[in-house]
Amino acid sequence: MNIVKSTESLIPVLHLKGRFDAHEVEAVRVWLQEQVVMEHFDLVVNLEGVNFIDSTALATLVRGLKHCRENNGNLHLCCLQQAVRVIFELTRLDKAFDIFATEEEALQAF
Amino acid sequence: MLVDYLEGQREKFDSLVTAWMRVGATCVQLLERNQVLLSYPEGCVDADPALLVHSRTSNLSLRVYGNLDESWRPAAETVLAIMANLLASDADLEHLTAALVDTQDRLVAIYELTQVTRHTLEVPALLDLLIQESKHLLGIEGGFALLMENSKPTIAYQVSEDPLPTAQLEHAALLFRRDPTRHTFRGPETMPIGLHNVMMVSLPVRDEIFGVFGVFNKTGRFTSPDIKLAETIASHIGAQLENALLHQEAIERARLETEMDIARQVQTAILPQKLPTVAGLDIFGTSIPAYEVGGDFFDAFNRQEHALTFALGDVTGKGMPAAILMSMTQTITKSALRKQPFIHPHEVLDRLNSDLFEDFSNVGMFTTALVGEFDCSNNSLHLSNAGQSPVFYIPCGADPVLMEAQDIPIGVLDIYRYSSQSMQLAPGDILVVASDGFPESRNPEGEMFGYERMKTALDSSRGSAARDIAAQLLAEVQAFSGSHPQDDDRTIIVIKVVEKNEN
Repeated sequence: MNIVKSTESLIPVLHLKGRFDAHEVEAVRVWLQEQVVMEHFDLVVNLEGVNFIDSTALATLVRGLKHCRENNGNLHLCCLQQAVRVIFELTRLDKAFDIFATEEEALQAF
Repeated sequence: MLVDYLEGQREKFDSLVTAWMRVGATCVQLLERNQVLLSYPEGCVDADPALLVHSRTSNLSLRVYGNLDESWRPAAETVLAIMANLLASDADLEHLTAALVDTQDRLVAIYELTQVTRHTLEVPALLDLLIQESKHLLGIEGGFALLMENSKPTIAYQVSEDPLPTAQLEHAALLFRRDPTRHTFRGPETMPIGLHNVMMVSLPVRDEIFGVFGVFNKTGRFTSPDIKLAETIASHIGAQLENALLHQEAIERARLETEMDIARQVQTAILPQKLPTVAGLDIFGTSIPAYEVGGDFFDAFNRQEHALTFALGDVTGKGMPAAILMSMTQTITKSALRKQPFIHPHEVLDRLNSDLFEDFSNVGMFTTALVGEFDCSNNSLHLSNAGQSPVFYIPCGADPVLMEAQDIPIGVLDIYRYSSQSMQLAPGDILVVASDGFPESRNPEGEMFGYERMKTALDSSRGSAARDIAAQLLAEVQAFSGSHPQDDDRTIIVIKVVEKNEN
């Protein structure tokens, strides 16, 4: 899986591309950990390139979400592909996360 | 040089030479260069020899004193040749005997080594034995054994009065590695300090390991037999080392298997042993973990006589960590369903979330869960679904419907109110609750089984008993996956409402 880190208007953004499953979570976990250390609690994860997500990957995002919320921040998701959207809807995690259609909207909603 | 063998040949010389006395010789002497070796009789005093014969193949010569003429020269040459042969044979015999004794010595030492090492399976003890035996046989100051494997620290073993730093031994070993045909090295140009001379042979263990057995600081030179002996010992010890490594690995594997085995026994014991019988329902449930232990759980029992209470869940992850959390969740769910009164299934999920949120957060995991109850007195089904999918409702005579969860999984948000939904079921209706191991199964081409195929499979088996519906779905997923191994646990509950008179 491809990972690109950037910062847009002071907010850390993580762009993921490919299959996001148990084998790929480590890098994301490390990035989330780095944000905690640097006290960035408003984060965006752009899933535009992700075509599949499994429960371990979901758990990693949930963990990130909890850390952000515990510190009065939030983790926004954006640009979900249909297949991934379906998984969020089936597990109802679309109720736990704020999900946006575009990265701009995800950034502005903070 | 030949002095040592002379005594043995004195008798032969005397008997050869006695005959000369009868034909006019007064004294016969055998010399090496100009030194008298043998003389018959002892102490010749005559001045010039009548005959002087030199051997062509050695430094021996024969002097015959007395009144003999040249006609006796051939005879004298013969005597000299015989003496030269005898003495040379003696010397050879002596050498061979010494070599034989030496070899026997070494064979005995190797035999003793093999006997002792048979009972030793520990790597340090084996290396110790190797070096001790070699010290004894080769007359060296010290010995070492190095085992080097890529990206692992070198295992170094050394026996000597003044042990050398491992780095120096590695330096020597690498010289040998560069040219394995060269066994001996002398200091000081090529050798690190402390090593005057060193002999190294290969210590064969297994392909990935570069093993060197070395001995150093011998007074004198290392000989060919020394190298051969060292190679023999090293090859034997190498085989023993391989045994020791295999043994260690087998023990480790057995330990892991036993642990997995125990974990699996525990898991099998806490999953439902027997499914309840409820009038009006055909029930089946099963769970097939991807590895020896899994992260899916399910439960089914009669809370009330005409009601079936059931639950199914999927802890994130697989293998041992998920299995541990699964066992915990299974126990808490079973307890909540049986021991704590509730009216609506969402109350159970509220409690589960409250009980498990902290532990799940600590390990960064969550679980999906569905809790349901079917009341046969009025054919009503009540469900609370925390992110569990896929759930198919197959109404009698209509297409299967994929039911979406209403609520988020357990362990995601600490304050959350779960909800319940109710529906009316009719005879012939089927409810299938499964874990995502079914739709997410992949084949070798990377395609997923998916919800559509699952829907089709269930649709086509709807006329069968609950057990067969489940069996058919499992078979189809297995067939679809082909050679691709099972990635995730597959758990399913099938509940079919039957006509009362069919039961």
